[in-house]
Amino acid sequence: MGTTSDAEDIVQDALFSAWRSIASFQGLSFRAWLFRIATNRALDHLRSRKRRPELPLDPPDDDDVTWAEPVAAGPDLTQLVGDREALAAVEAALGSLPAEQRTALLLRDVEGFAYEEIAVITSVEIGTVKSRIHRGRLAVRNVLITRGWRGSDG
Amino acid sequence: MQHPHAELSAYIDGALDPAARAAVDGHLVTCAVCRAHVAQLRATVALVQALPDPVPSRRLVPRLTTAPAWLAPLRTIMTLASGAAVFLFLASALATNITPLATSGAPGTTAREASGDTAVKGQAPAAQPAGAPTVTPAPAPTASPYGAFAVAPSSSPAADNVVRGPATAAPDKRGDTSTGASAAPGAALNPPDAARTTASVPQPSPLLSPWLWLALAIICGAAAIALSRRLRASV
Repeated sequence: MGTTSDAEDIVQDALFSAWRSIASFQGLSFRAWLFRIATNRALDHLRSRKRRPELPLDPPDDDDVTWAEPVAAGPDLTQLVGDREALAAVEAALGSLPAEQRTALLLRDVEGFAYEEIAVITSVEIGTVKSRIHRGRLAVRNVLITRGWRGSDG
Repeated sequence: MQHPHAELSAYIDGALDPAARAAVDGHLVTCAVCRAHVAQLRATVALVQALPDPVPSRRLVPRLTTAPAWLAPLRTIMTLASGAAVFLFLASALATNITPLATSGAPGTTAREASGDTAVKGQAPAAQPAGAPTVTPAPAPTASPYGAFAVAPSSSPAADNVVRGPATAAPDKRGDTSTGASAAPGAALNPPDAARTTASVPQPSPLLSPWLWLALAIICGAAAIALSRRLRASV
């Protein structure tokens, strides 16, 4: 969300609005339902703010997304989990993503929702979820790779 | 098969249907590039997951129930009570004239000192008109009080005050207060003793204990602060 206080305002607002509209809760798991409300609030807020120009929302095709190659040999990506510098780079990379990609990626990797749930939470097709998650991850990966960290050879 | 780049994220998430998954599996066997990309994506996911969880800086669940109506008046009462207790603490501390000596000594000394002071002050104006013209100066007005003090068995400073008070403040009413003292050195023992025995009868009442009021002030103050926070936290 940019700032902590904005994020907290959104969460509080979302919780309050969830409480008021609790009668409309159905189907979805309660957690997904809460995330749906909060996510919508957050995205609305970001759209209404429009302070910084968003990156293009829909690049043409996922196959066109480039895979950056390492510029120099560095530590293995898998070694970076405890590296504060690397985590800061990841955070910055996430911050530079389009909000929709970041939302899908965090719902998947941090909150652990399934693709189907993310589709319901964000009100888009499952193919869009797949595409957003992949592009988001690739962008983060590219940031790390271009900083000199290399992926393991798998 | 072409590189299934766009499928690799869904692949590591287990979100591909069985046919697509099998196709990617088959491709990975032969393609080192895609294997490296899978490993990089997995490492990226691990890094995202390793980010520290944001911790809210304040309570985010709104209080949907407003504070009970009696909370605000109670806070006011607690605030006033703590102020009053502070005042009473100071007042009782002054009244009992707390000094390190007085508190460390016998409990009777403070009361005795206070009563001795008031007794002397009350006596002074009355002694002035009646005693001053008629009394013949004591044989040794300066020596006798100090003599009495020297003989007095009590070495407490309170007793010192009782005896010295009249001597220095109003030496001309000496005939009234210390005739017995000046008459004989043996009799000089009596006034301090009498003062002690009579004055130690009223023990300091618990209402006069400054520490009681101080404790009350702290308790009421803490309660007022807690209530204020509770009020501020509610909508």
